[in-house]
Amino acid sequence: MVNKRWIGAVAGFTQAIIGLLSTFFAVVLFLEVIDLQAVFSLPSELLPICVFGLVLFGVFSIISGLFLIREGQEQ
Amino acid sequence: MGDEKKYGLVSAIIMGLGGAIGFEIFALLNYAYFDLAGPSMISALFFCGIINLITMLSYSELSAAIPEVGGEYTYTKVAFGGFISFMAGSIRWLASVFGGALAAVVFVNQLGVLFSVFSPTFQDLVLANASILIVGVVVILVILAIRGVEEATTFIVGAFLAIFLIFLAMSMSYTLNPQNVVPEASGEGLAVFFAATAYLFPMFVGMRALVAGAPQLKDPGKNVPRALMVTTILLTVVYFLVAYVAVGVVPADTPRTATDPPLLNMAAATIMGPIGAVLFALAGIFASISSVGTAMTVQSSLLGGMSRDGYLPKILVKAHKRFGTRYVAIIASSLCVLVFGTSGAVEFLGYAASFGSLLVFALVNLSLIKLRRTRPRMERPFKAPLYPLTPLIGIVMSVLLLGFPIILRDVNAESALLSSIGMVAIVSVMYYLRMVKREIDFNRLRTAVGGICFGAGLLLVLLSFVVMPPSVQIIAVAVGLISMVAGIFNIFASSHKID
Repeated sequence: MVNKRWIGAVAGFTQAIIGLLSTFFAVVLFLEVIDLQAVFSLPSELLPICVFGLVLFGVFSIISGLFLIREGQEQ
Repeated sequence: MGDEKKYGLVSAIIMGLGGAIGFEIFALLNYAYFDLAGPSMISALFFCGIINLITMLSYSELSAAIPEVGGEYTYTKVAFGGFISFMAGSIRWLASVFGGALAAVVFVNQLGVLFSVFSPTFQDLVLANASILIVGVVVILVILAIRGVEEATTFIVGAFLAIFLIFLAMSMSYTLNPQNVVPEASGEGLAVFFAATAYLFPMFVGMRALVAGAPQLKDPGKNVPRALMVTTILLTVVYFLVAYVAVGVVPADTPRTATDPPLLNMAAATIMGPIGAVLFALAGIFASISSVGTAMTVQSSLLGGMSRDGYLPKILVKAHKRFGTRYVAIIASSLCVLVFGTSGAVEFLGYAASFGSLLVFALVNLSLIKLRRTRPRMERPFKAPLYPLTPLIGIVMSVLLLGFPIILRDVNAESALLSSIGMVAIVSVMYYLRMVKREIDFNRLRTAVGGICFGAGLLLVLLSFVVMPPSVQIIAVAVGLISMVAGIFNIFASSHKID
């Protein structure tokens, strides 16, 4: 049981970091800080949906990750 | 409290004009004219005034019946409470953040226009360092907001009206004959007309400042509705005339470059010469600085109110020891203003501010209908005429205006709408995380989040094999698998507790 929670906490931590990176990536992509749109050859029509998807994925990943981290700490 | 100074009708009108007349006219006319509707933008402005007037009737009734600080947030709290009021407060806050960011961008643009009169080299320098300047102006205004510096609303309103009057008077020597002012009666013609209306909408919504200031007025039941009506009519007339002259002087097919000044500055320079260019640039600079400051005050007040009601962490209501201002809320809001402001995307910010305001307008109209039905005996010093037609028209128009830019596939509007939906989703999750106290509800939420993560992870893994290049495929599969594992952990841990 302890091992399961520990693994859950590690998965949660990794997921929360991925969520943060995804949100950060969305912001960088939208603001064109380092011209990522050209690097990924992203058409401008797809930009809003990509940024939206990345932000939502990031937010839910952060929340899900925090749930698992909290459970690991409770143990 | 009883000795507090109360203001009359004229002050109320100045308050409304002070909130509405601002930097938006410098920023928004440009895109609406050159890229959306052309000369029919003038009719769009007039239409904005009518829609605004309809919803202001609802505002008038609610502000007279509930003369408390908080505006939309308070009305929805009285009518619906809970989630809807939290949503109204959050959307209003977001609209204010987008508006503040837009004001910061306009500040830099107008600074560039001012320098272009004296030295084009300085203009290039200003535009090249726009982000640094935006950070600078926001930081200075944060310090001023924390110190509680008052704004010179009356002075700004007076200066603006004087400048516009001189502009209109000098335009009389020109033969103005703008073509196609009325929108084309075709599907596309009407779509661009409504899209321009949605985009120009933030030029009017600032008059809500009058509603927020209702508790400071004598006899708010009479003065607020009267002032709202007078302000809307005055504003529509002034904007209509100024836009008419600008469109008459600058043809829609004028060749343009990225460094060209906005429509209004071009028209001022044509009619009034270099003095006009300087006057309008200065007006734009002062208006945008004032608007960033006002936005910060509104944002800190909204966050403080929601924090006081338990929707947000208590730290946001914390006041500065020396100046008594909510410095944590001001700093938190200004960080968001900075992030969006440094994007420099005027069109995106214009739409985002407009969409937030339109959603809030729809919620205010819904609150009016709900209160009329649930509290028919509530004291109402002013009643919106033609009920339920007026609030229903307000709701329908808000929804239509939200839809038309999307139908046109305007990429700025799509980005703004999706960002707004994303942020609404984030604040909804925040609300449930904060307000759901019972363990069983918390675990249901956890199951839902786990399910979303599992589904998103699975989708990512499948998509990685279909649309992604091999270099990105490995990363996408790893991310997808972690998301699926975490989702499964959340689902099993929480469903076990629900059972």
